[in-house]
Amino acid sequence: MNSIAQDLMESLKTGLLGMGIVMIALYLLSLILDLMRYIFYPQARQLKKNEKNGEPVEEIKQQEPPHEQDNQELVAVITAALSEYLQKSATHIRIGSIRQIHKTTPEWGRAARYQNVYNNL
Amino acid sequence: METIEQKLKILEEKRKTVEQGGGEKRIKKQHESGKLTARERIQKLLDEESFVEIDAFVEHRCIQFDMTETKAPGEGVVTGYGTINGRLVFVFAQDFTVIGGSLGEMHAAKIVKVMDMAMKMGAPLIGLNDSGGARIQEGVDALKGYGEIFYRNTLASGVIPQISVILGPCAGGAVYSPALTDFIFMVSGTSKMFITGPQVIKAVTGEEVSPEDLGGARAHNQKSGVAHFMSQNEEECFDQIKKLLSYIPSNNLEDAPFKETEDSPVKILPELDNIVPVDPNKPYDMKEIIKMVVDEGDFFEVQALYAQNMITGFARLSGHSVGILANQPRVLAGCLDINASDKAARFIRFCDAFNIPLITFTDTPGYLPGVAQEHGGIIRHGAKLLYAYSEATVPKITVITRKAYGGAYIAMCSRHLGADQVFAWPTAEIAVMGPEGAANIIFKKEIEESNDPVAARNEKIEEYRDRFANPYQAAARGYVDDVIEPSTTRVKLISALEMLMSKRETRPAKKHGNIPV
Repeated sequence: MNSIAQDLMESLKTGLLGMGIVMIALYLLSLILDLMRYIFYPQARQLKKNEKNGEPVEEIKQQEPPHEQDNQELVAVITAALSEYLQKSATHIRIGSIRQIHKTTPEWGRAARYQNVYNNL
Repeated sequence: METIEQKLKILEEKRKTVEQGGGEKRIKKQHESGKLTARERIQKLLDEESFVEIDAFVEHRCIQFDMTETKAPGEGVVTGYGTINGRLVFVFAQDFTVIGGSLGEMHAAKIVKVMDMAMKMGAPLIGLNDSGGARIQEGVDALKGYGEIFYRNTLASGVIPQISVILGPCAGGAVYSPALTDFIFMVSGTSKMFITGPQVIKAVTGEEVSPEDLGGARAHNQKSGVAHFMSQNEEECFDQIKKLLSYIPSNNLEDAPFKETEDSPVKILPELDNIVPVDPNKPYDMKEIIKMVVDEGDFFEVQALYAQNMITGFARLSGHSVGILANQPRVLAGCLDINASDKAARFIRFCDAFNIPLITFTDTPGYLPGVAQEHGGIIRHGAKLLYAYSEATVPKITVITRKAYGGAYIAMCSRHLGADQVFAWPTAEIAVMGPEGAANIIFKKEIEESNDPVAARNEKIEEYRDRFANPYQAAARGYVDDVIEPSTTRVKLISALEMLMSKRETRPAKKHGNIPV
């Protein structure tokens, strides 16, 4: 019985020691990463300083590319228009793709126009 | 020495003299004959306050006969530029109140200058013709003037749109300038065009004819095909010109104006499914089909009164300007004849020169038979249609609604002449000839040997119709891209047109082709 208790105690100690070592290693790793940021991204230091001094920190938002944002608006507008035209709820409409309709001849087509004019035909 | 104020006063007076034209008396006479003056016409045609006159102070330099004393303010023609619906145009208007609008050396020089400017700027040229003809006192200098105008008309052909408006007499050699332009507008009761007038005709041939019957608006719109548009008065005529300009580009490198439409590009037209009668010999109105298919039902017909078995005109599909050609089954069953071929060929060449896509609706049983047609040169004239379609590099789309037989099938923008997309309705009959004729030839022996030749013939006609008079034989070989439900015609045409917007097709370099004129 005594031996079992000793074994359990030993394994507990070993477990705690292992966890401690891992924790310390992770802490050291995070310090190294912080250090790397200081070295390769010096603006962070200023931001941190500002934060400490209580100055407002500019919120950095991840922005979507502009045309993607436009497309989303376009999809919303087209869906609304289709919904009105088809007398269907917008939830029942799925926009597969949007295509720009040519208002003028694309450059590819214009090239032939110039060439035919040049050829006197 | 004159002061600045005096100089300005002189300028003002000179300008006023020029603007008075032939004077109040002659202006009154012009109004009494139901005509506007040259300046009034320009004002009505162009956007308000947009006209800028050039060469107002040009004077003739003729000293022959009584010309030294004769004053001709503005030299009998008002020239300049302005805008129509915001687009630049160059214009000249002959002033009948000044020596009858007669054309002398300097009169021609003014016209030539605006022609050159229009060419340089790539803008349409509009000529308002109201002239008694050449100024005889100036002799060969007047003829030189005509020649220089004709020369420039030819150079500008296919480069800028040229529009002639006949608003009075236009006789003798003068008629050839309008004839060389793209479109001629005439006003009923006002316009007169002829090479030799009624008096000369009476003296030479003994024929008696009134000026209106000989060279009036109806004669040239309906019989000769010289003119393209007819109107009841000058205001209506100017509205027609503005409308025409809305469909065509300013020059041969530009696109035609795009116009937003509220008409849906995916509009299904169930009425079209039943528009073609079941009986193949029963006519229907092709214009109804065209009006249903195009944007807002707006079809602007060109040469509406001439060769009515062939329909030509402008319309829009999803905002894009297109040239439409179609057989009219209501007139001569839609047969192709000399006049129809000429009319169509000229229209195709205009559209091709100015980058306007061509849409063709086919329902033709073939070429019109007859001695008059053969001796009139249907072979030569029909060839123009083949030539024009083959030569054209703009997007070409064909819809076969019913009959497309023999040579006429080929001529009406078939795949073989370079059509980019050919659609056929299920009612289409594409074959070498009609079932009646074909059955007589193919089954001649069987019909003759039959106990009841009439019944046998009818049976064979039906057999031929079932086997060949449909679109699927042509579709099986890829001569027809798709057999479509008539109700989807607009959707298919717009889709094809969008696809063809970037079409790139070139032709070999050459000086020019040799169209069978």
